[in-house]
Amino acid sequence: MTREDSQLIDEVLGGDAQAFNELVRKYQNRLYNTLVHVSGDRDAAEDLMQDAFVQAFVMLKTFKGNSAFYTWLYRIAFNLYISRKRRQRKEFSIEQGRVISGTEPMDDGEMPDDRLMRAEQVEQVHVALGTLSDEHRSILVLREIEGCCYETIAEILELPGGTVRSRLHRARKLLRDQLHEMLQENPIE
Amino acid sequence: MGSKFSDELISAYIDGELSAEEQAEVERVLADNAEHRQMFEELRALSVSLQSMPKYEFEGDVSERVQRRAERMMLSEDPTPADLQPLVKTGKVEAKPRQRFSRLSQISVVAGALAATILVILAVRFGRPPAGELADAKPVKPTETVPIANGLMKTQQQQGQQSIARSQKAQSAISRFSSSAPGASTNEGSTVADGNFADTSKNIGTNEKVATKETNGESVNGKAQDEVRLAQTNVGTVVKSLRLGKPLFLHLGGKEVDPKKLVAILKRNQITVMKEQLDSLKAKAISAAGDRTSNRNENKSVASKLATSKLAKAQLDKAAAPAKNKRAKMGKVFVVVASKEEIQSVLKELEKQKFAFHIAARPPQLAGSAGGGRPGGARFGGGGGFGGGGGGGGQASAARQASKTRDGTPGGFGSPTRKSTRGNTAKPSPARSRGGRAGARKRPGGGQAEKKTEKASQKRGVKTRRGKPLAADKQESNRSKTQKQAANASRELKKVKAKSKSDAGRGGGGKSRSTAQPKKENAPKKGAAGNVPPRQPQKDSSSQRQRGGSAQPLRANAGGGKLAGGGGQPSGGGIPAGGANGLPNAQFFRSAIPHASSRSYYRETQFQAFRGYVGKSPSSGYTLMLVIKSKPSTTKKSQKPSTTSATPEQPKPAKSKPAKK
Repeated sequence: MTREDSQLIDEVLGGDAQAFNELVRKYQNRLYNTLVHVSGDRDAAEDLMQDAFVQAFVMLKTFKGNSAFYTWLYRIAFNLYISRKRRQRKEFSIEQGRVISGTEPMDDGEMPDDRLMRAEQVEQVHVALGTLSDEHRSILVLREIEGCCYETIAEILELPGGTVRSRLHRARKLLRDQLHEMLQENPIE
Repeated sequence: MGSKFSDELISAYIDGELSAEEQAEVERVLADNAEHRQMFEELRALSVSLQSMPKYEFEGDVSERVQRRAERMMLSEDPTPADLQPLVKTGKVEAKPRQRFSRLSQISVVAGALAATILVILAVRFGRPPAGELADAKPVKPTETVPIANGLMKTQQQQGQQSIARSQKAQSAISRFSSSAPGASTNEGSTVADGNFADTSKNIGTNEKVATKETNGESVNGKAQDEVRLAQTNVGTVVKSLRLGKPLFLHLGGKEVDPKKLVAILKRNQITVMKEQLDSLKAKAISAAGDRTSNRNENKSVASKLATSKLAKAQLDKAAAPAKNKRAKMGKVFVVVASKEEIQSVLKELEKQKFAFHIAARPPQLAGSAGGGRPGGARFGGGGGFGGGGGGGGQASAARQASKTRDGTPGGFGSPTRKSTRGNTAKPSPARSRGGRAGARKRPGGGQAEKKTEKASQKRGVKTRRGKPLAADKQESNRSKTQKQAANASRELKKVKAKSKSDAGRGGGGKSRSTAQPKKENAPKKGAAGNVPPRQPQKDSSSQRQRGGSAQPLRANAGGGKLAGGGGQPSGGGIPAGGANGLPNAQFFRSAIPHASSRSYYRETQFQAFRGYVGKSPSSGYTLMLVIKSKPSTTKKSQKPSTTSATPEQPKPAKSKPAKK
């Protein structure tokens, strides 16, 4: 945990609720991005993000400081997500992924054809990602998009290190297979 | 490469999470084995693709919202968020303390319950006030006032001491409700026994602050929400009571509701949100409301004006320009069509997130004035549902009145007159008017009643088709559009006429009466098809709704089932050959409204009533109208979505399940 975070947390616990706002502002984008990829829905991600922050605020006194605040926050967000998914018992909608990927920002400096192809690739990856199970998608997002190391992933997902490695590999292979299938059905020219 | 080589190492190698030894081993394997090399290349490319996924940035600052919510949560009784204790509510965890109960404690609980019962009996027997006092006092009878809550209380009493405490809490809430809601104590017409869900409002949100506010009359939504009372129930009960096609309003209170969040909830449940389609409708409704208000003194209802179709609508829009200011006050409206399960999940989520909301099967405004219903309005399935206005919505007298009005009005169900005078601004086709006549002919004397109606309408300046309305030219154009449908309609009409004649020859009250409607001894003479009774001083549009109520399919739908607070029995609707779910079937619609299929007409009606609701909604906030999905089997014809149609695309037809009684 960075010193700044610990200071802010101490201030919050000391009664300065405004200090928590700084923590929120500091991590909201990062958390939001991850949650969008995990949940596949921007609105849901925003919802989850808010709830995660709220819970973090309420439960802050239980935070021991053994891990980074962000890791702890992320764990809350993930638990929220999993909890809701379990209740809903609904699979990720591929359409949602398409909707999201349809509004992807595109890289500048590319030719229009390249952009188009790139957008299609991104869309396909996004859709394929959406077909994975929650556990596989989460671990992939944490590793590839969030850039977490295995240790952090294990901490967030509360998994043993070995499981992280095997699950990550499994998730990658599943995603690869899924993309293969999609490319065979709708090849990108 | 040894056979023990795990390809997991390739992934870890890509991630740089291997020890030096493992790394060396992987490099050796990759150099030797083409298959693993290919995998490595593919996984690496995949990793690159994933890493180059776009970053999403959250626009805005949630810190304030987070803080507010967190503070509110901490102020509540149980600061532990629901998601952090997901198993608390499940049976498994609840079973643990039960196991720990010693026999002694169980005995003490039972003894306590017995003692409480005895105390209550003694209090009732000896604590009864004098007769005169009783006569003067307005009795608070929760069992009569809020029958659903009573039912809940009965159930709760069987669950031991904890439940007794809960029912006491509910009773106090009910008492508050009864004492503060005028007319509530006179409500006699609804029972739980027959499945009526006549309770007006269900504040499912358990947020104590909200509940306190509402019971103190300081509701989030202001005056309108003053009518909202706390009656403890649960989401399951509400959803169980929903029926196919029965609209359910969630009036979401004011500032607490974040529309994005609401939409997110709906989306998460994969429910189609109809907000876009509603925008235009809402604007019209607001205009109509403004116009209605401005013209109230002149006794020109918007409904009458709307009857003149597009021309009148244009005039309305012109005249209602000042009413645009109201738009700012209007809340957002979301309409969703979903299965019970989906709606249940939405409700649960709303409940979980402690939204302040109450559920209404029809607008509070209508229930408040129609048939002397409780001002708390929002009667769940009360009387005629929201669409038909009318209906006592749970009050016995009003229910009787509603039944009378409905009695023998099979054609009225088709609401030709009502349709032509009140709503359906989009396409009041001639076929519909013909449908009205068809309905009138179903019942002896119906044609005469229609003439009377037309005369009355003409006196008020309402232009009917016979009276050659101002917008007749527009209607003529519409007529050409619906010519084909009308041709089909006429065929159906002949069949109906033939049947009606045969019924009339037998002295019956019409086909529908003989088939679906129990006899009503006091059937009013004015209950003819689409009849609009002689003009009375108009209090508000809801009274007008009541006049036209008999002509409202939705109302009849509500009346036709157990949910109907008014009749509560299938006697209400006068629906010939009503469906298993209390809905009028396609045959009826084809005969009564020749131009329309059952679905389209039904949806139009929903929207018509809904528009009225929106138009009268006095407060901000968000209204969520949930409609149980229709049966997949009923979707025989795919209707083109129109602006006035409440027909969203079914989000998941596979999951739609027909509502069961």
